[in-house]
Amino acid sequence: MYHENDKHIIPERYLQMSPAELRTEKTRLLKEMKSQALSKKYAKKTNKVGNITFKF
Amino acid sequence: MFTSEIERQRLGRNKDTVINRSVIDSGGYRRKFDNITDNSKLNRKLYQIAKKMLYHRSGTLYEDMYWIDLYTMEVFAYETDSTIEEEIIYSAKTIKAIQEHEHILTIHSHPNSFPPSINDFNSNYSNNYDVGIVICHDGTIFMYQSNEIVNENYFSVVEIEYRNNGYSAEKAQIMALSELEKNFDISYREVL
Repeated sequence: MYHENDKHIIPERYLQMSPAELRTEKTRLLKEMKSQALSKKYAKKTNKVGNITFKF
Repeated sequence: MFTSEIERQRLGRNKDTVINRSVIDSGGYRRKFDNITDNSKLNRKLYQIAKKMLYHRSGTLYEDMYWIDLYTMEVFAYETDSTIEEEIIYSAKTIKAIQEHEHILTIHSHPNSFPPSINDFNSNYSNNYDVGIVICHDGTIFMYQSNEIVNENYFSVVEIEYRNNGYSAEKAQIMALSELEKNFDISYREVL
């Protein structure tokens, strides 16, 4: 991913959905993501790199 | 001639993204950077870069971005001539430099002063950046980190739910990010 795009555009179909349809879609997408979860490419990041600690 | 010159001056100008100099030049703004890391040299460098970006892009929707090696604390790449609003395209030189560095901090500007986008989180993970900093034109600062990819459609659905409940676009994005933090291995915070 060699770009940073901050223009987050919500797909039109989501704007047309009822609250119930949005909840169903949310559950479906979450389930889909969890089922497709691949092994992590990188080690988990920590708050410390060398002698620098990030204040998260 | 006069008219065309005015138009040229106005091209790409956006009054909502003009920085508030009294905020950006204040001691309070400078002190916020002390709360990013425990390393004063790095914090000072981030402050200097932030000021440079803010003054460079004030009044526009264009963004600047810098990459810093966390071991040397030196800037090893930057993109400061983007001509696409709210987007940074990496040059071939930047891509090569990223691949040659192991521990990276990124810092980029957000003219609209929104928190990190879902794309920012996904880029942080995909490129294995250790941490990202967002410098907003209104003086807000965010730091973020991601350990996994989040589906952009999922983020959209969460965000629209908050918007439907009466939240502003900015507040809905903040609420959506907070909800995502519970379900995904991402973290972010406003630097105060």
